[in-house]
Amino acid sequence: MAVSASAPRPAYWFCQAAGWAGFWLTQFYSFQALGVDRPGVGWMLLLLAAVGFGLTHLYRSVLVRTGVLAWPAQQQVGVAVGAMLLISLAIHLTGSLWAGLTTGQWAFGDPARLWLSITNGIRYLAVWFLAYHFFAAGQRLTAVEVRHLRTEAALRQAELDTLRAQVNPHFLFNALNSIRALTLSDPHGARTAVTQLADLLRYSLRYGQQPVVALREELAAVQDYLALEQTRFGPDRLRVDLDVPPAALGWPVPPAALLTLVENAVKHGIATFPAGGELRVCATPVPPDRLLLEVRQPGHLPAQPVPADGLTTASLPALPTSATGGLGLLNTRQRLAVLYGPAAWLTLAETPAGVVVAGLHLPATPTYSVR
Amino acid sequence: MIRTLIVEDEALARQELIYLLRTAHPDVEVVGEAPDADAARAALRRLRPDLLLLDISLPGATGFELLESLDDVPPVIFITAYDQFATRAFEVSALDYVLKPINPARLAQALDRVRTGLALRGRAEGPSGTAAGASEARLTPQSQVFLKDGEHCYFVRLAEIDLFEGEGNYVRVYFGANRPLLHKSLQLLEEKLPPELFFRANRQQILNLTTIERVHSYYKGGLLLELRGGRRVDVSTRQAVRFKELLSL
Repeated sequence: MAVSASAPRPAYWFCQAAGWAGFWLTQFYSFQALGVDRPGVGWMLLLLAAVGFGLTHLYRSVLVRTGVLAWPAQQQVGVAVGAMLLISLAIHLTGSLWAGLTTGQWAFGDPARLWLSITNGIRYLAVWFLAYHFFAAGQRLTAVEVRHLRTEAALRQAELDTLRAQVNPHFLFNALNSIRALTLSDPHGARTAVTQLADLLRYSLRYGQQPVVALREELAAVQDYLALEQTRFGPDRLRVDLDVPPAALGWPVPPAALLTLVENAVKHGIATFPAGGELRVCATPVPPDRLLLEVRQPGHLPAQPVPADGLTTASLPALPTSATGGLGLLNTRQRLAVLYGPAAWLTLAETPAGVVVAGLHLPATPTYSVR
Repeated sequence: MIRTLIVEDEALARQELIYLLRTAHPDVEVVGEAPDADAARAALRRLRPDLLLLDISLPGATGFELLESLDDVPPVIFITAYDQFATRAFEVSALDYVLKPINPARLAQALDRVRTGLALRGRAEGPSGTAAGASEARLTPQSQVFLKDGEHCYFVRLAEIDLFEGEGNYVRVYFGANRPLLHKSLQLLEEKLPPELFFRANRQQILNLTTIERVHSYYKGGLLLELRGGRRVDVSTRQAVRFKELLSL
């Protein structure tokens, strides 16, 4: 902001030049009209215009440097009035100095002339100050609006991506492939898998419509998902441990948030080890009114600089190893921000070494309503 | 019979593939199954199959990484559920792949191409040596290497390669207009390459003898070779003696 504003645009120079040329013309004309035909009056007016030009430009530079344009309106008005008086005084003194030097009549102290000269100067300067401050304020407003619109567009995009990522195609096609194999070797298992897949798809079709669902529903989808992945990998390679106290089952959670963490755990943890591993999902109520959902899996986080304050939530995206994994977490974080503001967050840590823990920290209710 | 190795980490997916092969392709014999890259490498050494049916997403190393680590890559059909990037890579280099769940007609098409390729390869190598029967250490001019350069994948027969050039721990491989890097040492490569086709010209370069267009004498008894495409290669004094011996045969 300061960088772009400190280099004035051509329009600014044009307005400055045109304004002060206007000052010179109107003043010169009024001297002529009043019949004051002092020699060198044109040069004097040119000097005054130059002083006005220079001082208003200096004022602008000070405004840009010190960030006064970001101050509240009342304070800006105070600064502007003060500067206006000073500049008009400077113009008056320049004029008096010129008159004294050329005519020998020194009239610095004459209160009537002082008053006349300053009000005369302010007539012109007021136009400059009003125009400049209003224009700057308008520009700031536009910048703020653009930023606002960009944020909104990013959120929309995140929502769209979430919708698109509802069903991970890799998972879907692998599940279908497993089911096709099962139809020959284990028809009963195939039938169960079809039901699980249907329930999961139905859940994913619905969850774009609701800001939150009961943990019970999300957990059912997680179980369907894990059962299908167990069919695919075999129960030895994917071992599942769910630990959710009944009290937590009614807790409102954003749909697919836990599911995303579990999917990531399977994709980046279990699936990368030939022998697989154990995936643990646990829910812990945190008194007085918060819930912690955790997903643990064997694996490693890619090395990333740990922030000085020791927080693990700082950097985005958390899993650069895979574009989709990182995107899934990024989406979840954005959705949490939309729903809860700073009251909910997502953590990802390797504690102890070799075990990756994803944590979803949720308050009791969403802070923000969803359109 | 096409002796085939299946590399796939999911038991059900292997089972499905075997079923599809058994019911429609009696000439395809599944000689082995491997659930990950390490097991696949061992099985490849032991079984020397004619065809590799390879899943791209494997635990540990991916299917691509497996292929890059091999000296001699048999014909491969990739199997993948959904992988935008991989399928794009295939489209570029016309490698064959089938998508899960496997469409039997698509599998048949891919296998037909393999049959045609194997028949051509057999003819090129003559009756004395097939891929499976060739000596363990040396590659043949028909041996394929798998090269991956960013998103692009290439299967290249050694006969199509003009020049290998050492770059630290890597070897730059020149073929056609491409020059991807291979993570191997030039020394190890030289030991494997067929000596009737490839010649170590100097410390940095191994060239394909069939690409030489002109030979110039150089100072101190060295030689300057002009290769296909205008590339020039110096032959060191010591190697020039060997080069002359080789050509006088």
